[in-house]
Amino acid sequence: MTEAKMGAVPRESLRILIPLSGADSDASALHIAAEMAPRDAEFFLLHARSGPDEERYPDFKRASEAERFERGIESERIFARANAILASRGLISAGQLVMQGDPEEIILRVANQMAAELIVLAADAARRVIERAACSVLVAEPGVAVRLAKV
Amino acid sequence: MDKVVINQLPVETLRGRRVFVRIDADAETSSSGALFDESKLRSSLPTLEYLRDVGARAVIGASLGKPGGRVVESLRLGPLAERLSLMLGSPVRKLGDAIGRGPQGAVAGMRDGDFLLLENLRFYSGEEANDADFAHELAELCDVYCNDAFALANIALASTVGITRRVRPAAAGLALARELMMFEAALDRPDPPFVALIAGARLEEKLPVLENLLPRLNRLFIGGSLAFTFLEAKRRDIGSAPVDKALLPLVKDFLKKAEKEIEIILPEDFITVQVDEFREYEERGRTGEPPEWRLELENGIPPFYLPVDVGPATINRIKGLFERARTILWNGPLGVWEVEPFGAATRAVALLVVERVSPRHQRSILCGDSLARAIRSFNLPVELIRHLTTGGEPALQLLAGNPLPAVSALDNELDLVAPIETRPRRILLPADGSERSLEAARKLGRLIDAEGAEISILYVQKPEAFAVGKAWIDPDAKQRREIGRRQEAERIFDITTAPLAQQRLNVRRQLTVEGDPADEILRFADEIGADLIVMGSHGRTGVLRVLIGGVSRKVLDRAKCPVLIVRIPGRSRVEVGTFET
Repeated sequence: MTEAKMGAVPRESLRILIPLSGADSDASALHIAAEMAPRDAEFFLLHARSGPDEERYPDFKRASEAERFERGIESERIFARANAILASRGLISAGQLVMQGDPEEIILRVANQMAAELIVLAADAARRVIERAACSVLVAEPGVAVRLAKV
Repeated sequence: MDKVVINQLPVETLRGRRVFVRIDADAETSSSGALFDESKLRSSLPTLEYLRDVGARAVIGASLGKPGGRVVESLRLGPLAERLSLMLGSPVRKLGDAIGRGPQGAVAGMRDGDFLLLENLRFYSGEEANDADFAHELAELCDVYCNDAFALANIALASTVGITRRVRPAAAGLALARELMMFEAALDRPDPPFVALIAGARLEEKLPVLENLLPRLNRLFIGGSLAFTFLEAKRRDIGSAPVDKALLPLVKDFLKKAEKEIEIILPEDFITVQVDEFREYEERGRTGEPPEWRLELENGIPPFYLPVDVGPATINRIKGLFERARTILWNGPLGVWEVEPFGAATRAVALLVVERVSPRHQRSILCGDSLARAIRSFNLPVELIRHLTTGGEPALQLLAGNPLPAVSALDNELDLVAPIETRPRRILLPADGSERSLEAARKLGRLIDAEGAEISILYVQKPEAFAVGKAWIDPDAKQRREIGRRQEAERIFDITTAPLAQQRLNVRRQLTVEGDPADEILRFADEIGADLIVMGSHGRTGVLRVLIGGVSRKVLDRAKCPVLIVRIPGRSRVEVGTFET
């Protein structure tokens, strides 16, 4: 998600942030985002890994290069699957980013930094995001978490 | 394969109709000059011939080099059109543009069985950006879409992904389908024994491939410079061979895991050269006599010696593996094939594939750009190889288990048998006249593709408080109140409809009901089969106070369709001006 890429569009295009976790529910968020988004939308994929936030707490034991590489592979798989879903609707992501920390915090922070106008979430992604996001939120499968809990 | 292939479409879908065919002719070296890859062109001939034979009007899209979104005279497609004309035995008319009036006129004048070649698509920046407008212009030129460019399938271009949003059916060409089926057969239902020879360089790209292949394989040979890190993991003396220190722990893990399951084979002997001599030779631009070489065993390479190819024992080992295999996958060259004597092993194994493997109908897939280049440079009869892929990068993605965007973009067979019913989207917009519900109406068209959608506005009035006493005493008062309530509803519909009208959105119905707002919203959403519920919500105000209403919360917990929460920007954000539109 480079600055150049984000600033290059002359028309004010709609920036949509789609957080991914690697769970199956990612697919429903992507399908709904692709289906509902207006034509000039730009999709930014964020793989929010849960784990220690290495940027913020540098004292914490840092991952070895091998560990980082393995994570990289995992993220690439997640992005590849996500892009395939977008492509099945003739779309593609405008940028992708991996961050580690508290996923909800990451999503909120990145949404602010990139001035996202819309976050598209599957159902199980965190009430806190829905409640605290400064931008609009599209929830792809609301009620699913609750329904599952009742079963 | 679940994707529809061009020859599976009914002939009536193609005859007399405009079919956009994306082909790839790009040679890797073409950035320097307009040189195209003959073998790629040849691979797309069956699709083009098929289209001619069924009487389609083929509009061919192709690109050459990296002109970076502007016209580069040397990269015009004139020579490609001439070459295609010769190969097809039919004239291929080349246009000066890819979009706009020129192509539109030319396409309108086509007759059945005609060919037309658009100008280099990469002259337009929209191609690489998968730009929606550029894709739309391309889509204007055709009725049916066909992708026959496997080598480009790992990236998303306007002519491979964006265009499919507007053109149906979107089918795979014969060459693309063949590639996909070869990989699918090898990966999903390999005929055992399945042997893979993974060589070349770029360990970081091959590790995911190895991981993905592991459960499918019976034997795995690791060669090329890839093998050095594996040999290091086994503590062999490999002289000055480069080792990927960072990935060494992963290689160790992989070996530990893999050796429990299958046989892993590493090179036994190497052709080596003195590292300084080789460096000098490289610095001379690989001219003159290559350095003297000697044969070493895998565990006895002296310091300052560099392995540049595998030796005869290893070649024999590979031959033995290939002879006994029923499915073979080969990726990457075994040595520094660009320097003549050090391509010997790669050449010997390629010859084996040509002479023994392919005639015996063993299934084999050879992939990787440098392996393909190596094999072509040996002047072997490439066409005898059962399958030599045209795309190194997409092949790696498939082998690593990743989907290809340009393939995902094509229609599934099932979509065509039972097309998904499409109807206008139904949007439920609950309104109460508050600022947040108005904001939802104002932003709707910005956040959602609501064009052509049927919007229903629902106003949930609080049930009339039981002012029963007065009401039955004074029927007029009740009526007055009733009128008042109706007027209030009218006012709310008016102020809600106004911003929608401004966005040219259609309001289909307006409804007032009484009851608990969340319950009524959910009930009504079910009733109209809503595809989306749109709710307004305040952002944070002042201190981090959360203001998602109880109604929204309840709707979110119980809705059966997606819910859009439209945020009114909080005060702090308005000052920064980030979200004001």
